[in-house]
Amino acid sequence: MSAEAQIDSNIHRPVRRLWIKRKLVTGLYETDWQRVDTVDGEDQVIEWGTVTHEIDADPSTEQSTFDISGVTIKIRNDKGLWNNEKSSTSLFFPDDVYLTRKFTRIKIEAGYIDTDGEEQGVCTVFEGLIESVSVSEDRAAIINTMSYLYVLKNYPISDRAYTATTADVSAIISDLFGLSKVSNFIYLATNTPALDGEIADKTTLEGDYWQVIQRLAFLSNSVPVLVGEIIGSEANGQSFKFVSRAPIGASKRTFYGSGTSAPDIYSIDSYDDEGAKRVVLRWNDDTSSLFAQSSNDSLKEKYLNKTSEVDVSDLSNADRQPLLNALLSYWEYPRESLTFSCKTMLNNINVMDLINISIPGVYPDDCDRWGFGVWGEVVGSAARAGLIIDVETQFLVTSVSLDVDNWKTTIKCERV
Amino acid sequence: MPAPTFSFFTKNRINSGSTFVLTSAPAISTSALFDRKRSPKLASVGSNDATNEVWQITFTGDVVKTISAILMDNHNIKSGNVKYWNGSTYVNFSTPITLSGNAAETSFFSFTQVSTSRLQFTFSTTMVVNAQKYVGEITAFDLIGTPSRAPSSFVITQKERSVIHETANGGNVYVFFGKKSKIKLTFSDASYSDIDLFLSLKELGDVFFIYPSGGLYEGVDIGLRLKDIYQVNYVNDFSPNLKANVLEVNQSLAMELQET
Repeated sequence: MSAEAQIDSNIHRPVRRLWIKRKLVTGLYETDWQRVDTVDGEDQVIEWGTVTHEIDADPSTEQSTFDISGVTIKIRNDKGLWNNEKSSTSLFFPDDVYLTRKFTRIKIEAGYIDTDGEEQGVCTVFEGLIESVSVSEDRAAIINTMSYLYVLKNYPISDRAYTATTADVSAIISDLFGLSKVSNFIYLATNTPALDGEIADKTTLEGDYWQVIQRLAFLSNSVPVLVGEIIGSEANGQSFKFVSRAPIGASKRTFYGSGTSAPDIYSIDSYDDEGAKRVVLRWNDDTSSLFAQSSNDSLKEKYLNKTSEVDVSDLSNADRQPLLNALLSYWEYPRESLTFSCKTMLNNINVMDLINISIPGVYPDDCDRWGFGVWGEVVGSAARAGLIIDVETQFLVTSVSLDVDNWKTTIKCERV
Repeated sequence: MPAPTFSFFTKNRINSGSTFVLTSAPAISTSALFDRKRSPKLASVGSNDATNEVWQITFTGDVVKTISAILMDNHNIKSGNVKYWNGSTYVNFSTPITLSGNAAETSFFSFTQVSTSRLQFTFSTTMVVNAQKYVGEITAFDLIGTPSRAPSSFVITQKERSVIHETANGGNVYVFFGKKSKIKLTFSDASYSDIDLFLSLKELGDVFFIYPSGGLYEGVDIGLRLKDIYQVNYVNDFSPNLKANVLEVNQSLAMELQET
C-alpha cells in the first residue's frame, strides 16, 4: 500500500527515527548517520517535538518571510549517552575524535508501516543542528535543535567582499548557495524569482546571508523556502527554493472536513473568511516618488486605501516600478485563510503547495431537521454549519506544523 | 517435549559497537540484527546457494565476552554453521552449531560457555532455493540462570502507546506507535538459589533477557513460543516472602518485568 493509502486509512502505524552525524575534531562530519532513537534494542526518545515551516513568519510585515522552527527532543540519558564528550559513556566520547555535541547534525525521519509490515513514505521531516543539550537528574536529556537557517545566519555578507557592481537577484542567490559552507547543509533546488531584478550596487547589501536572502526575496517579490525533504543526496541536507509566491505544481491533496464521508480534517482551528488584514492598496517607495496604487474603486472603498511604505532603492531604476506593481497586484486582494489540523503526517505537504479543501458542512442533527418543511423533502443549505468550502476551492499552504509526538499536522493556508 | 524453563540471559553481546565483515550484506543495515525487531532483516545481496554468505562479527572493542547461547530469529537459512574465535582461528562450540535441512525460522543453540570476542556465521543455502540469505535478529548471550521451578503464574500484557484523534465528523483515527510487553511472574515456591538469582537480576544494573520457552520448549501460546524473548528491566520491588508457615522451606516472590 502506498503512503497516500496509509494516510487515507483510519489506522496509522508510524515510523519515527532519530539520526545524528557527529562533528569530528577535523571539523568535518562523520561519514554515516548514526541512529539514536533506539540503541541496542532499547527505545530512547521520550518526546519527539514539533517542527514548523512557515512563510509569513513575521506578522509585522506585509511581505513574505520564512522561518523554520527548531525541534526540542526529550531523550533518555540513563546511560549517559548524551553527556558531554569528556564522559566515557557519551556518544561523543572520546574528545580527541569528536568535537562536541553542539552543531551535531540531527534529523527526524517519519513514515508509515502498511498492512504488509512494509515501510511507506519514510522521509526526513526535520534536519538541522544541535544547539544545546541539557542533562538532568531525572536521567533524561533535552536536545534543543536549530534549523539549517542557522548556517545562513552565521555568515555576514561582508565576507563575500562584493565590489560596487550590479547583479541580478538570482545571481546573488546562486553565489551564496554555491559556497561549500552553505551547500554542505542546504541544496539550492529552485532559483526562479518572480521578478529577477537587478541589484544596482552589491555593496549596499547588509547583514548576514539570511537577512540578505530575505531582502532579495522582497526585492524580487519572491519567497525563500527551506523544505525538509530527502533530495537524493545524503551530503546535501535540505533543499532550498527561491520562488514566486504562487503555488508550485498541481494540487497535492484534497482535505475533507465535516459533512464528507471520510474526513481527514480533525478540526478547524481558525478561519478568516475575508482576509482583509493584509490588504495593501498603495505601495510607496519612500526613497523616491514612485508608487503603485489600486484602481479598484470597490477595494478602495472597502479598505480605505491602505498604504505601505517600502524601500526599493537597492534595485536598479528600471526594476523599481515593476516591483511595486507586482506587490500591488498580489496584496490588493483580500484572501481568506484557514488553519486546520489533519491526519497527514508526512512532508508530502509543504509550504507553497497547492491544496483543495472540501467542507460541505453538516446538519446540526436529525432532530433539528424536523420543521424544515415536510419530512422527506430536500433540506436547504441553511441548515448546515456556517463554514462551508466547496471542493473546487484551492488554497496556498503558508504553514505546516508537524507534531511528531501526537502524529498530527496543522496546516495554515490562504485562498489562491 | 521439554518444559519451558523461564531462563534469564545477559544482554546481547552483538550491539551498536560491534564491527561487521560481510560477504555481500550491506554494512549500513547491520543494526537490524540487534534492534529487537524481527523485521527489518539483514540480507545478502546477489547471493545464491552456490555462494556462502559469511558474516564475521567482532564485539565492541574486540573485547572478550562470555557466551553460552545464540538465537537466530526470523531467518531463512537452510544450511550453515556458526563458529567462535579462540584467539587465533574460528572453531566449533562444544556442541557444534550446524544447520542442515533446516526449515525453522527461529533457531536456538546452547553450548558450554566460551570466552570470545568474535563470531563467524556461514550461511550456505536457503529454505527457498537461491533466495537471498536473511536474518532478522541474532542474539549472542550468556545464561544468567534458570529458576529451579517454573513460576506458578505467568501473565503477559501488551502495553501500548497510541493516540486517538477525533475527525470532523466524530469518527476517529487510531495512531498506534507500538507496544511493549509487561510480564508478571509469581514464583510461589522459589528456592534460596532462585531468590539469589532474582536478586542478582535486580542488582545487575543492566537490561537482561527473559526467555520463557528457554529455547527448547516450542509452545503455541504467546510468550511461550520459540521466538518470544524479551529484553527487560526488573521494575518492581524485590520482596521475597516467607511462605505462610515459616517452618516450610522456600519463599514466594512476585516479579514484574517490562520490555525496554
